[in-house]
Amino acid sequence: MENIVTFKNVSFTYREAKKPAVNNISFSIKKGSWTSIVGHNGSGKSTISRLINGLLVPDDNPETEIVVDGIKLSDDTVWDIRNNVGIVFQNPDNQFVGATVADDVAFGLENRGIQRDKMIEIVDTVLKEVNMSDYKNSEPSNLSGGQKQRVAIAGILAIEPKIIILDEATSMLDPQGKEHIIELVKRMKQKNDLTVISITHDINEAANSDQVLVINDGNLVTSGSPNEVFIQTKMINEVGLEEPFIFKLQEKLKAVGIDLPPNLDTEEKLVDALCRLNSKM
Amino acid sequence: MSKIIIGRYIPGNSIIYKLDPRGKLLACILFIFVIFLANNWITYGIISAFALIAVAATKLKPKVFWAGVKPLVWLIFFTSILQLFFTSGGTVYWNWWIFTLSSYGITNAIYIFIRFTLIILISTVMTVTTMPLEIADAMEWLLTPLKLFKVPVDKIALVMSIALRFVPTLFDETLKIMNAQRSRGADFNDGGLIKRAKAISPLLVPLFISSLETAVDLSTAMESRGYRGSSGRSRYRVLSWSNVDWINLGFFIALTILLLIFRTH
Repeated sequence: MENIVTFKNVSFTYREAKKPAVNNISFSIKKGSWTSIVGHNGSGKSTISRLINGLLVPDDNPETEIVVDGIKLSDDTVWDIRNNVGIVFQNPDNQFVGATVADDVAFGLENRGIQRDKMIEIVDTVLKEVNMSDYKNSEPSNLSGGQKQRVAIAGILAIEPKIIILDEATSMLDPQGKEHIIELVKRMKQKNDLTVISITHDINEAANSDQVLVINDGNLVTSGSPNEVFIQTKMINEVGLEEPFIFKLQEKLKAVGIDLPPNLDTEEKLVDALCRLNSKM
Repeated sequence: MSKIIIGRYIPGNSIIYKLDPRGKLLACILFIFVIFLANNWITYGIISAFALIAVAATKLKPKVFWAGVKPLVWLIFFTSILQLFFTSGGTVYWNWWIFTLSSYGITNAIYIFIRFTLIILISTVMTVTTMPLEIADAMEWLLTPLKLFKVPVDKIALVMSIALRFVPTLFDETLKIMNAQRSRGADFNDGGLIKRAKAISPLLVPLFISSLETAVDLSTAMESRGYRGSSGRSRYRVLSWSNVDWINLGFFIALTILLLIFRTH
């Protein structure tokens, strides 16, 4: 499959910082995949998401190249790229622009100069998709955090992006709200053939993705499938992360001498393997 | 406390609620000018009747309007009493030092009293029946002619709607900070003026910082959603002018004509 996002030798230094926040990173993301970017606080994960849609401009370097959906990021193309990328940010309160739910969903459409009758149609459809139709005229102060994030997703779906970035979008929600949002994004990914980039602390969520990028102090430590990445227990602990529960469990089981097959990267596979072991005994 | 009624809007569905906010705002502003046309008992009677019809049409409890008048009660009485004792002319009933109680004084005091109350009543009708957002839209429409003088009306409108959207959020934030500081021993309600002013700083400083952070986050979110200034934007929210709004303005013009006929010269 083709790559939808390519980073080549990208560095970024904040103005007052001595060290770059992102240090000479190269990676690529496949179209239609779910990629998780993990790392401890201040490792530069969020900076990467802002580099993708041109909110931040990478350090000057002739070898630097950011390509999104075949378009090379530059001053002239930044708005074309933003058209294809939707970001859901961390704080549900601080990204709600409109005074009501419908206004907020329409904000992105207004910016693109869409005709009003078409906007009304789109707003109604996407609100139905995220299950917020009943709240169409509600004000943000009357919504819960999870509902606000759903509105934010609706606002992004309205502009039909190719890439959706979750910038720690669930970190301020309770476990239930978190689950709802992830389920919703999964459903939308299937339906609209989206590429999802999720910046997350939730290691268990990362374990369910297609690709994991581990960032530490601005450097890309490793990347690959969750199985390839989380098997490197020592490295994961060194960068200050924890392995997902299913990997931890496998390790403990192996330590007490239970022989498990390799590549058990989902809960179902582990359950299956354990059941099979049981029947052998 | 997150359920505050911003701008004291009270939801309802009488006819006044369905009026276009532009018509309401216009009528409300013009009313304040027109009230100065009244200068005798008949005209004051007409304008009072008009205002009371507007109040009745909201179908809200009288308590709501009393709440509107209450904070200004002292100002109304103070002005009326000044009028009462410092106007001379007509029959003088009582005189002592600089105070006079005359027939002119009495009528003037009553006129001023009515004038004040009516202005407050009509503006209460306006704010109570119109959502702050609609008022902002109406104000944007009123400001539109300023575009000729290169006033960035679109941007002002966006600023207004964002400000209104953040009033409840900042209010919640304020309460949260107050409670957090209280749990660490801050005291906001005791002591003299200076002590109280000092107690405000652990509230104001974090509030300023958090507002600035919110502003940065919000502008990032707006930009990543494709906001690039006001040019080329379309509008989702539009106001619609209906026949009822013409009737509203028609009533108003009728009132002005009646006042012009019956006023004494």
